[in-house]
Amino acid sequence: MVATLSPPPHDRDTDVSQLAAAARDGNRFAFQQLVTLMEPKIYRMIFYRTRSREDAEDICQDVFLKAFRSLKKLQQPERFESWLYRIAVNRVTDYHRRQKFRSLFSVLNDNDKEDDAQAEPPGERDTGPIDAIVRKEFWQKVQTMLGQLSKMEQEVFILRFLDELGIKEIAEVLHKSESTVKTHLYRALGKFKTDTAFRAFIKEAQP
Amino acid sequence: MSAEAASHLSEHRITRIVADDGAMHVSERTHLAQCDACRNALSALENDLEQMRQQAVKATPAPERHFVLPAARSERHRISRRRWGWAAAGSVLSVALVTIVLWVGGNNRLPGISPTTLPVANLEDPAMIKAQTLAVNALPPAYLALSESLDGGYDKGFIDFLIPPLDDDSMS
Repeated sequence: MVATLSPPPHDRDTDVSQLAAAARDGNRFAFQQLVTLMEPKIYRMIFYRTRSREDAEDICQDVFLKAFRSLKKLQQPERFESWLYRIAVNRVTDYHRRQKFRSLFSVLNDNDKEDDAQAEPPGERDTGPIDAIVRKEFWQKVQTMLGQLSKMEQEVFILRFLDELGIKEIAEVLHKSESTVKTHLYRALGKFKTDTAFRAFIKEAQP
Repeated sequence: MSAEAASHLSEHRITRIVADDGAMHVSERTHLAQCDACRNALSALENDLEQMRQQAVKATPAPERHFVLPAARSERHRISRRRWGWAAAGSVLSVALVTIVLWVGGNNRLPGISPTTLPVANLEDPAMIKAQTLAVNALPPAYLALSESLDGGYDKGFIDFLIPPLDDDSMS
């Protein structure tokens, strides 16, 4: 397998799976195109679960680095997207595990968190403080709504309605059967439907 | 319950249609085409979910760092790395050799003679006995004999003249 820098032998509109196949064969240009296509989605997906820009950036780096190094192991390039999401989900799980461990030293951590929150609320660097407050309120409401769901329901719900993955892709990402995914999704959606306060908040915030 | 209400799509069926991304039976599709209430319920749920998604995108700060692909390793880089590898291995080998040589040399310098046995063994050596005698008696015996003979020749009165005794007050 020889690494090349030449463009992959296909048009610009070629889908992710063809780019993944070319990247797997050592085409760095194809991998760079995959990064361009997928990075915004993966970054958002991680941010939804960490609510920290810096952590999301770090994990996103890890995800693509891991993908780049393990690409040769990918047997089905058409599954590249769900494979990438799976790496991201695993990285996020590791992140939460580390956070839980750190929370054992809660006094020190709480002080750090307060400092971080004051130093940089989500997205305040590129927008004003009012936007930052609106964003913070939005994520608090989302968190309250998600709090009614089990861990699996939360994961399935976010993958389906925030990350916009299909049921088949979700099943591949989570290594579950499609029927299991659907069961959790129906339950999660049922709870969302009955959360009238959250739905009213969403409608109010609608521009 | 009226006949029309009974035929409405259940909450569960609306949920399932939304979750399955619009996948539905022909009967459901037919009903939705005719029933405003069910169509409104379905579109309201879809709209809320879409609003939530859009707001989530808006509430996500733009990343300040982007992924950069690690630089490709050229043939020259590989050769350079190999050279550094050989150099490192050579250094380790040299240090190991020096350590072994020093260790072996240190053992040979004192071949089983402990510091406590050394003087005892050497005292039987005539040269060492002579040296010890010289050390104990700073002057040779011949010189001492000579000095004794010279002492015997001095007059006591002359000595007292030279060095007056302390109890003699003749000088005061």
